[in-house]
Amino acid sequence: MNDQQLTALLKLAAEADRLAGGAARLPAAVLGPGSMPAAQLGRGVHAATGFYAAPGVRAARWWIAAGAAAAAIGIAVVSVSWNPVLRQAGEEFAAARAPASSANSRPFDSSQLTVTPSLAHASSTSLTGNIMLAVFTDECGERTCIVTHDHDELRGRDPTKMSDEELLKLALGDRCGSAVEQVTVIGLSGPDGSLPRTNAQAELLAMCLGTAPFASQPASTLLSCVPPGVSVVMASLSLSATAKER
Amino acid sequence: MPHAAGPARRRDWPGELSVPEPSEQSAGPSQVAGHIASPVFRSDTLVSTDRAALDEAHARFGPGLQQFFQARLANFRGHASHDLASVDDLCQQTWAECWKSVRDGRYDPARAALSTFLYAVASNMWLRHRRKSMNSREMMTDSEQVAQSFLGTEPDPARTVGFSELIEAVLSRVSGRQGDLSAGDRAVLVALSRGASDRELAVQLNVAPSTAHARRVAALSKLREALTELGYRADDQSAER
Repeated sequence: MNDQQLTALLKLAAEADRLAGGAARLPAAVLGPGSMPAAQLGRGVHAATGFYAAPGVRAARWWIAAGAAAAAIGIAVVSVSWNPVLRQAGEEFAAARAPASSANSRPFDSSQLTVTPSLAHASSTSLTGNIMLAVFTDECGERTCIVTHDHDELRGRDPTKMSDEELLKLALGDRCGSAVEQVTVIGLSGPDGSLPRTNAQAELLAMCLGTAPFASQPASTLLSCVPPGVSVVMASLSLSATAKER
Repeated sequence: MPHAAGPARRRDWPGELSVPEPSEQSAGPSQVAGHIASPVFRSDTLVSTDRAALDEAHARFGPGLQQFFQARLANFRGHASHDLASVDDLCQQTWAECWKSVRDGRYDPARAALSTFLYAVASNMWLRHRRKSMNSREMMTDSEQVAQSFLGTEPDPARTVGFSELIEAVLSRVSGRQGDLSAGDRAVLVALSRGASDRELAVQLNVAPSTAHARRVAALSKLREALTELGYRADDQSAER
């Protein structure tokens, strides 16, 4: 191996270490006292990343990364394709909203954003909690209402382990608002203390996660909304095609 | 008729993979609903393909893997780092390939950390993706060329294992865990791994550029010797082991 290849190999090794999340496999002390800060090393050089970070930073990042990563496992965007069960549910839902379809173009009024039922009595006896939010949006993408199902209402079931059909059926069973064009279900499971416990917290989380097509959002945006240790699953169903059929 | 609201994504990987049920004597750290309770990941537990350990590995290295592919995609025209669908696909293929190797006993935790093995699989996956979907005239980076020289152009699990062991060997020597590289040599190698030029190295080491160059050559030479001792030869770039 010539020097160029060896240097490339070193870069690959550094990259492998970064993939491990800077697992402290190469000590920061390697740089030695008086060494130049990484940020000044020029192109391709990143400050305090991977194995170059100080031990304290590494430790903090470990925990942040672990929490974010745990959420990443659960985060997925689910597209609902042709499915007889959902089709039926969708048609029922479209029928319910059809009379109000002419009032779709009004501006979003935050006072219309409702969160039901209250989460104030969310289970406090279990270490692990489960919450499901169903976010209903109109054709402008504005949230019209949010329905929540707390741990007790879910009977302790983990929404992140439910099938997409199950999640959406559960959401459509408690539809709310008018002129609804799409429903997005957000299932959360994790340490009870990390889950939203009040209507306001649930509303904030739903707003943070957004209801636009999730694929258009950077993963980091989604992850930043989710408390550490919480697994998230999302499913969405657009009803516009159903409405047209009718 | 309801229609798709977005691109299809798998929601609970590795659900499609046949993974044995968690054993009663789970070797992984304590977990609460898939959440990592301990920052210490023990790759040796993975050999038992314990589901909790798989979940933990996924949680631990998933973000890094995602960043790896994002960075790779960002280097090419017409590919955006926020092409989440491609990143997601590549990540899932990498995990699937990785677990297959674990399940089939090809991965040996004594020879390379799981993250290093995962990196090798990811590198292979990226090169495959590159060959398949990108203009062949687009130049490969030095790193990609080196990776390809070890991994080859045909699927070969043995080469992936060998590549992971080589990367592990480099990491262990640069970190000082193995080998006899001095702290000075290791400092130079760490700087080189960041892409430092001779001039930048000179500033870092507080020496003249010519001295920095000499130290770079010496450090690389020692690393080369160390790798040669392990069976990595200069001519064919492959391990004889």
